[in-house]
Amino acid sequence: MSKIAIVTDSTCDLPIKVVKEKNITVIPLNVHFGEETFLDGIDIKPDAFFEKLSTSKIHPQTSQPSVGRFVESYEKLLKTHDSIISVHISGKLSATYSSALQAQKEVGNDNIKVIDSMNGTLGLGAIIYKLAELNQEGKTFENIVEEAEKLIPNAKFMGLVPTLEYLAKGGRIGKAKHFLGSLLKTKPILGAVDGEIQSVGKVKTLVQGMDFIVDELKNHNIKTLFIVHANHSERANLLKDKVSEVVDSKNIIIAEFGPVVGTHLGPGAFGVGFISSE
Amino acid sequence: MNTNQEISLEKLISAINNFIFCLNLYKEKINNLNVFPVPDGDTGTNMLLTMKSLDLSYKKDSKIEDFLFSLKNSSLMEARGNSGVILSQFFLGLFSAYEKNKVLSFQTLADAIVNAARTTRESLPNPVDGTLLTIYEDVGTIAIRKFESSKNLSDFLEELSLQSIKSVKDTPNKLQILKEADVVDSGGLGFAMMINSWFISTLYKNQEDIEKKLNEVYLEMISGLSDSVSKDFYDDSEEIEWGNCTVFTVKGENMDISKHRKKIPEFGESAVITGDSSLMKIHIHVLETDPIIEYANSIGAVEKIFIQNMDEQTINMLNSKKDYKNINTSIISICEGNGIINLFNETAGNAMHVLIGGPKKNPSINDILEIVKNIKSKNIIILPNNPNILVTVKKLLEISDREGIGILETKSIQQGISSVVYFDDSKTLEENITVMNKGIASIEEASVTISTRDVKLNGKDIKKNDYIAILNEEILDSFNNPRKALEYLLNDMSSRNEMLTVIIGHDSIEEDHEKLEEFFYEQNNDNELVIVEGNQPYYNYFILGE
Repeated sequence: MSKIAIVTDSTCDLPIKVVKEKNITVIPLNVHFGEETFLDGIDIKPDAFFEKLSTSKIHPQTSQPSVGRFVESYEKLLKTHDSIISVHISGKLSATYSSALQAQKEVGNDNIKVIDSMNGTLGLGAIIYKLAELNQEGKTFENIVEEAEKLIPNAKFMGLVPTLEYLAKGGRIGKAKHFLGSLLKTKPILGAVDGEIQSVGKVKTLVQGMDFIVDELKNHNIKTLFIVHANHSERANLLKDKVSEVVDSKNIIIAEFGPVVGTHLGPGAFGVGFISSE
Repeated sequence: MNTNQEISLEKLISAINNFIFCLNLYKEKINNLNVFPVPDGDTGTNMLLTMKSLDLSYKKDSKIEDFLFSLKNSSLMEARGNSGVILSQFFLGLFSAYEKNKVLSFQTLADAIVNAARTTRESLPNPVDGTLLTIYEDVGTIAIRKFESSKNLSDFLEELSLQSIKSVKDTPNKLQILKEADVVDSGGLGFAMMINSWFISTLYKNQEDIEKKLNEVYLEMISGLSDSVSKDFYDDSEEIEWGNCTVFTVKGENMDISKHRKKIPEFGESAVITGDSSLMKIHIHVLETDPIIEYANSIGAVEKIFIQNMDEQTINMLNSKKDYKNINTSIISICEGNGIINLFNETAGNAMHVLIGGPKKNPSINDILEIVKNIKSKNIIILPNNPNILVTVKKLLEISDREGIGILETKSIQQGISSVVYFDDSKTLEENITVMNKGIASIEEASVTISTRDVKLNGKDIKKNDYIAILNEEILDSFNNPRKALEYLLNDMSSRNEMLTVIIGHDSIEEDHEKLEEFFYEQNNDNELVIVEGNQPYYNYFILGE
């Protein structure tokens, strides 16, 4: 049987436990505080990151993994695997996909398939989770690639940020821009639409936002739901309580936004990621 | 090959070091121009860090090929950010050009730039012109054309320098977002600085002269444009200093934006005009709003009008000038106070139709019918925002035979505002009424107003000119100044609400917002306070708790 490696990047925000169990290779992006650089989730974990975010005078920035880092990982994996399926954060939000594509050319191996997930954080994570399951079930390279293309339009992410300031600073606010400076401080429900961040609804308070999300989840058939938070487990638990009327709580996995995604959403952000199946 | 055309390794290394020096000086200036693909202000920093991580170690007897190989690898490994990755393509290109030519020469340099252009175009999922890619292509083309005839390195680099400056200046014409932000491409400018720093170092040896020349080149490249992405570009809201701050969009076909860009500033001050031939966004401060809106109407369909400091005449003009063509459901909100009118207009956009009215200014059935008649959309939702006006609106429904009118039974401004947040024109009339009612159900509302006479209420003596604190229609207490009444209500409400919105009335408008925020956040760390100037009469404050 041919051996396939499932590769993604650190913006998938999957918990380390899941990454290990499902045998997923995660390529880290970089977080920079000025000229100080950290590998996302490796040199700096969420706790330490949010601590630094609240104390550092410098606003962090993020950058994609270098082409060289991808080349290195692909070459190493190809020593023990026959092929690689590499799925990444939307090309409209990060140059990670472009780095991976270039690395694939550099390695020059047709058994590497690089895919743009058109999503991020647990929208991407939910896709990877499913692909890794299929891989463990022994599905073929073609099967998994085909399945990935089907999962992409059905992968959903919805979330809220206490302030839009971080998205604006990082230049990723996208079409939710008109909420900036809203007189009533209306908060958008953020979602990934066409690979960009867009507002899919609006509320005034975070608790109203949770209720909006719960209502929205009722429209989908969900097998596994990821709840993700930025250094605010209380909020994640409150959301879990509310959501458990829609999704069985044993199928809920709580995750944390990693430093790269956290840079752009800011502390206190939360959201859900899942695959909507018929 | 003419041996004059050979470039020594020492020269290449010193050129790289010159560029690093130049990036140290211009890092922030380049960051300030960063708008595409992501406006995160890090182009200069990323270029500098990519360059600094290059492996420049070399011994007297080391081979050029080995040096270029480790240069390429280190750039691939360490390239940071979008601009860093694209810059690293040059070093990739340099290595393959050397493999082809077996010598470091003018032709190798020309080939390197052409290679960089090609691999950049291949490696980007959506290559975009008007960026560093275009500078590679333009400079590469000139380099191929000129390398043979160049007498020496300085002559050759001069050709590249001239082309790079020209191409950078042209980037806003190729990439719309640059034009909107009024800047040249940051990555392109960065690479042009590399060419120019090299060229200048062939002419001058004195550090001061070099820096002076570099600055001239930089100023030439950004001439006629801004040296940084304007704040307006990031944030549409701003403080108004003069007249009516007026913002709107115009939709049309084949609009001549450059013509309008010249004409519109004549109507007022601080004009900012962005967009393209089908959609323009205009921001301008004017004394009178009528002329500019008239002008905009002559260009195309005017939408999303937002005006601060408006008077009643302006409001009527606004209602009549809105483009309701694409609206399914319009809203009539009966309210007063400029700030409150703005809140309604901002929240429901083109669907919003304001009728002036309030506690001592109840509109008649005819006043409301007049507005209803002018509305072309299929459905209408009326927000009375006052118990007496609610009665009038209910009567209107009995006598009107127009179909598709719904009423949301809002008895206060607070209810009106919290319901309209949930309005969504893609929903049906019934769906909107349901979801908007839900918006009212869970709120608490309070207000502070002056007592007009002596009265005994709930066993309390309230004197004329006392300020009374009212919560959910019940008088709680009275105070000798409005701020105390407000603080009392905020303290009481904050235990039950996540967000409190204070709408400041005409009589309290001069007060210091910061002090109110300080007071609030001292005792409520987890809650959010939103302060809006409502400018309403009679009520010093409206408070909305959610």
